[in-house]
Amino acid sequence: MTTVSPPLNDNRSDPRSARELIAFCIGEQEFCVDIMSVREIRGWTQATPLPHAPSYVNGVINLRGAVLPIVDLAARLGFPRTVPTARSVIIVVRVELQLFGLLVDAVSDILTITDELLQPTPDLASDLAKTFVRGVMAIEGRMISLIATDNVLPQFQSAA
Amino acid sequence: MDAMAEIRQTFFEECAEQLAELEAGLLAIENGEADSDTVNAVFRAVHSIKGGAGAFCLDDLVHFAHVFETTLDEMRSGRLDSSEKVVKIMLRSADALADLVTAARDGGTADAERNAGLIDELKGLVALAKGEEPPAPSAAATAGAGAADGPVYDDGMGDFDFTPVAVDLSDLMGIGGDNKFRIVFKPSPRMYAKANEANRVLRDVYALGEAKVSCNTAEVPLLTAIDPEGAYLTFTIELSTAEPEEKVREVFEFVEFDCDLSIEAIDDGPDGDIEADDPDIAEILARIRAEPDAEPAPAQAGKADEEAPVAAKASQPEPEPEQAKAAPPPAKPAAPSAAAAAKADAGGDGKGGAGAGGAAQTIRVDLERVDRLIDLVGELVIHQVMLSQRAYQAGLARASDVAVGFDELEQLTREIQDSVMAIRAQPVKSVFQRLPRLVREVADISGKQVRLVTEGEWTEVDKTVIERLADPLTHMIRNAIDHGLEKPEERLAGGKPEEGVVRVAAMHRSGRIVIEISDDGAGINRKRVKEIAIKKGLVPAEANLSDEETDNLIFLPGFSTADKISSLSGRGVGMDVVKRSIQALGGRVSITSRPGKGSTFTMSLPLTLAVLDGMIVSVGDQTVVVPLTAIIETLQPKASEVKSFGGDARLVQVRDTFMPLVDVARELGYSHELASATGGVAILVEAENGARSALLVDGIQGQRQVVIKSLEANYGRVPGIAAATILGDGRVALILDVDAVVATSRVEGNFFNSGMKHAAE
Repeated sequence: MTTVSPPLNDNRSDPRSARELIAFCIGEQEFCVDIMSVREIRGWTQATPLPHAPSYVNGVINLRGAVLPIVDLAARLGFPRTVPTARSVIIVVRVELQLFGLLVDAVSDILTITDELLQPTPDLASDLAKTFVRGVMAIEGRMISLIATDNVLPQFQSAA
Repeated sequence: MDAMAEIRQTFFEECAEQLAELEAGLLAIENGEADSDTVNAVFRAVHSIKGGAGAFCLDDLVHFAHVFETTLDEMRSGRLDSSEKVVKIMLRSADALADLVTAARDGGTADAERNAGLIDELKGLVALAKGEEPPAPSAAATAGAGAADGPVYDDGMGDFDFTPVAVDLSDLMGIGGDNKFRIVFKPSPRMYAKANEANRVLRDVYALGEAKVSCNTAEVPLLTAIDPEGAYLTFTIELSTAEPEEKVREVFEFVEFDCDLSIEAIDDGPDGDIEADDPDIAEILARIRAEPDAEPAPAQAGKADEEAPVAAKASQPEPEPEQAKAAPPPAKPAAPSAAAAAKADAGGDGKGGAGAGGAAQTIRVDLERVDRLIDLVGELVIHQVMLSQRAYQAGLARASDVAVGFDELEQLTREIQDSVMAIRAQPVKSVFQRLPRLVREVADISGKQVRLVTEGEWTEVDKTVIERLADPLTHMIRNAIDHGLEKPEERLAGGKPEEGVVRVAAMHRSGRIVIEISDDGAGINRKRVKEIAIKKGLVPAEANLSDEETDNLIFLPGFSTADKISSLSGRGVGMDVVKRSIQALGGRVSITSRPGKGSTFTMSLPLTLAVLDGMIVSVGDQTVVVPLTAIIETLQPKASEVKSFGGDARLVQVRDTFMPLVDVARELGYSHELASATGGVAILVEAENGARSALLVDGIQGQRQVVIKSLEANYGRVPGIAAATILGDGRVALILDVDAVVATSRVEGNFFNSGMKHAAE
């Protein structure tokens, strides 16, 4: 997997530019994230819970010496919390300088799409979904939502 | 452009060092500890800044530095007494110089008015000094200083600014002599074709003596007509040297047939002689020549630039004068070599500062590389622990050879870790040396007389600690002067000397660095402190506080004792901010005060922010690290020693005292049940204010040095948690923020602790 790449926004200006997405499942639904923001995909390891953390934060794991927070994406989107199993997957993504893991049920596909395929998030979607879903697309009869990774981590005020 | 930016950065780094040297030297002079070396060092510092600034065409800086340097030279030559008044002006000039450097670096503007005033004062000093000495009339000195911004880098190449062949720095110094030559040197394309370089030849000419080069670019055709391999420049060199003409010709020996060369001896002319332009520089030159010991070194170093001779002179006591010789890398564009030479110069200064205790060799390393190394060594430690744990789990016998090998490996890794940590360690001097200026300024504004005494400035501590030490220290010193010390008249009335003393001392104490800031002022006015605290609703009116508790009230948020808000301190963001920033560093601060005698603030900080000695404990089914520094003792509470204290609060009796029992699992949200006190272990901890509490945990697993990993980098601040670490089994464990956990556990309504709670959040 390439690790050095232009950020997502750079290709957005060109509507014909193809982008690659990693699709994954949470329950019955399919979501995807831009492949450029994905650093690696790894299996589930037991996380150390963080005190006073929001319910969607599973805790932190050791990623080769770095402390990596794990976000239960299902819980973040308002679904019931994922019960991690040995088959659960952590997608390690990078947003700006922060690295964190998304706990999902399974990785399903790698898609290559153009921006025309991406439809705005439907209006009936809840506020929560609108915060995290950048758009939806129809691929082979499936609906896949593109996750905006920017807002997934809880926002902290800068430490005093 | 990157290379240029890099050189620029190096220059400013060097400037910072020079400025520190300058200030340290001036202070030594002020305290009467100066010898001629000190004055020389001070002079050299200003001179180097000027030299570097010249290369970057920082006119303001050059001009100011030049005037400053001129004045310092008077002092150096003994014509100007280092009286208190003189040193004061010089100290202020040093501050102004620092501001100019900052302005040049960050693109701001310095206080031009003040600088102009200082320049006048400095010139006044020169005039004063010169006035006592008939041969050099003061008018000339002023004229020389006034014209300074010109000759410093005006080498007659003003029309030559499109080429990188900047010979800026080279025109000033050098060993002149009685023989003067005018050399006209016009390289032909053949010369360049034979891989000879005009620059190199010119450098050799500089080595002979004092040379002034001008370049005639009249023959350079338009860009479209230019032959990239052509030769269009004609150099006219005015050389003043002690060497005979043959020597001069020798320089051109290899290029003689590939250039038009004319060398003619000339008589002393009024033009082209730098000594005539600037009497001060003439004096410097004269003095350098007068010192036969220094002769060989400057002759070598004079090749490349103006500062090398001074550097060489400084390194005179050192056994190897090759130092200076090696400094300027030959055959490079002038600017990089200027930076390199400045570096060499700084290196010399460092050695001078370290005294006769032997010249330590140093290298400059990018901090990122060191940090990377530290990270890797941290990983190494983790893996070493993990490996040996796994081996023992797999049934490795403790007495086996492999086990012995593991022990040795462990020791080695520890040693590596310590050594790597030592790379980042720096003396606190870098913070301490900023203090004199601060004290001067604060003293001026508050109208008090203050003497700063620093001790233990060579105490070493991790660089990150040093960086983050500056702010709280500044604040505390401001406070000590503004609030602590009395006005001179009050001091006299109190039977104390007019001049107050602020003492800042650093020392190592049991694996931490302790910094004490003490003043001999009035001490804390406990009555007033309490009144204010009551008025601001920080404590209930009926509170019965011990002296110590009263003193500690000043650390509460929103507390400020200043009657009126001064520009110094007293905006209500006072000691609580200090306390918080120290806590954020894993440190503590405390105060002791004696009325009429003064107060002492004691900061205790970890030596490094990278590792920590911790006790590994079990909390619920989690593993948590408690910093060892906070722990006083551990005990297993008996049922009879645990008392309920209303609600869920419990107290534990340790010998004769009761202290709150804090259920860590509950505080961290790992469990909602109240843990059984008798089934666990109580860890006695002490908070900054000295208040003790007992942390209830399920069990103790051991004691270990752990590598601190930031939680904030990828996540954010977690209340009650200071940081994270990775244990031998590869899992993340959290490091407890003892003070925060204790503080949040306190029951609301308790005045002191609710304040603490605010501070902790």
